[in-house]
Amino acid sequence: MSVYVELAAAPTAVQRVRAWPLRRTVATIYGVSVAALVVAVYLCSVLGLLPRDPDAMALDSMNALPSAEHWMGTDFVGRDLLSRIMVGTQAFFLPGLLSVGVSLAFGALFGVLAGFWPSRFGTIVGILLQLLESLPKLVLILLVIALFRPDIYLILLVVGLTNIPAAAELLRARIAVLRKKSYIEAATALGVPTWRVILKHVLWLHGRGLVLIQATIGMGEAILIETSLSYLGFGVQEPKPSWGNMVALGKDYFFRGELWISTAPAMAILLTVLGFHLLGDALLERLEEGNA
Amino acid sequence: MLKRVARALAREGMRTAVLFLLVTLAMFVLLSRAPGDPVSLYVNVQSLSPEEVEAVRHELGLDRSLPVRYGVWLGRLAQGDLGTSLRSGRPVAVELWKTGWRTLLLTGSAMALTLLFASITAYLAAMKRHPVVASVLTAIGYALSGLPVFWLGYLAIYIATTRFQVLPLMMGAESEGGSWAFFLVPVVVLGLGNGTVSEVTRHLRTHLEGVLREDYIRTARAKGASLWRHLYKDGFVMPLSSLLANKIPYVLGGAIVVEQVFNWPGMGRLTWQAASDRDYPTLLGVTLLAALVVRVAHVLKEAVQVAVNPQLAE
Repeated sequence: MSVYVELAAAPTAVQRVRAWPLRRTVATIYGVSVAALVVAVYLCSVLGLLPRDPDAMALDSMNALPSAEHWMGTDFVGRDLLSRIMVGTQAFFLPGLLSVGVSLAFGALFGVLAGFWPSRFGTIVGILLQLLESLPKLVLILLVIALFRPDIYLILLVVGLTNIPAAAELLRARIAVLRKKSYIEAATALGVPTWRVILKHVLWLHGRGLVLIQATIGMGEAILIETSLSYLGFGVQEPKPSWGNMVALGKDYFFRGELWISTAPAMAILLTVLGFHLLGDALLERLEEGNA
Repeated sequence: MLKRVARALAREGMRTAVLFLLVTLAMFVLLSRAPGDPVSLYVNVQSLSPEEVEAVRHELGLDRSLPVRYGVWLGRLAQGDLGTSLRSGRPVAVELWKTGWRTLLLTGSAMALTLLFASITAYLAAMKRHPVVASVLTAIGYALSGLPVFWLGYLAIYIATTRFQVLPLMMGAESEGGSWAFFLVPVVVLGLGNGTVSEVTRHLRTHLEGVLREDYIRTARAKGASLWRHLYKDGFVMPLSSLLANKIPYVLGGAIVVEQVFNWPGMGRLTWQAASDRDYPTLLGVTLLAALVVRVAHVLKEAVQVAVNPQLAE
């Protein structure tokens, strides 16, 4: 008897993870560690727990390669690269969260509206989303910068707005399927208020995976956009470090063969964005598998 | 089939017209919300008397209500009058015409390269015939998607100049000779480094795996028919056309960065320059043109999909 009970029991989280292919497990572990590391480094940099003063110049040790004293070397005025990379997380951390928050909140709103009441809101939401999708992000951001001010929060607010369609479309498609399921019908028939059905049965029980994926992808993209803009000179301005403006500053030395100054922050971008991409894709794969 | 496609084109064309109207409206609202007196863009306000400023204001139509101004602005837009660049003093339309084709060339070729790389990787991964090659290509795709495109550009320039001595380092306003390497390097950098490679590959692979499980594919395999002939429509044409339309905005954005890295005298550099100078007429023109490109890609995608799958014609 007990055997049957055990067989019928839902697998625990650990068991489910163990059943994953190795590739996905590695990707997930890497992604989660990167996300945790970014949070930790951000907190350290805010609290001032840095190996060196990120602004202290040392003209006797310029363009140094990694050494015991400077773990990741120094830039062209002798500033410690590791400390600057750590402080560089501040350039995207809060703005990135803002952009993710905006895209998820409005994405959920529009997704639910279009998914639950397709006849009433489907068309208007569809047009609104296509409108947002028609504008290339970077171009729109540059226009906003020119019209208003080059503030990184404003920029990533625009990024968040332009990410609404992706989040909304994922949720809408999911809800369109869910709406026809019997337990949603049953909940409605039992007199559960619609807002409760939406919040609990749709968004919490079936949408949180999607939300998590969108958050992960959104954070990776926020980093790429922030660094690109800072590289172009419109985001975070020197002497405040951003991984993007650090790459740009190392340009002249790069072409002369001193590759390290530009490469160190570029690798920080690569490893971080890769982590978010891998995590998002692993989660998405798992979700698609579950739906199939 | 022609009739079907024509109908789809007409429908999507209508939708695009409506959307474009909304895009211009959004742009107009954005413009009118911008801080600063627009008069100061055209004349030096300090050197004029209040009456003269009023006269200029009237001349520019700024004393009329917002809807009227929108109508006038839209009317000018319809005639191709995008205003005058604040920086060069030339009409924005002329500036866009001079630089736009270069950017479209760059973006189009880069997009083609992205899709080619993704197709090969996804096909190998989905067929499970060369697992090692597929894994290596997938890993490269992920690495490329995380690498900032500007650093990739630096690396390409560095390798090309020091190792092969092929690339004239800085591309002047008028390209000398038009060597192929010259064009190829930015295309490769943008095509592989625009940040969408891994996503496009993953999407395509999932799609291909789904199609390969279909009964008709199994039948085709069983009877020894050409797999490609049965696969290409549903497995490649459909997803590639929609990916092309969806990812064009990203690649256009990446073109701004890549043109900056390579001194490519296209629309991206124009955009950068305009953003530095806060030259909004130019930026507005770029935004509208970019939106038009994205919409045209959508219309084409719709036409291709309807041509391939009659069920989508409604």
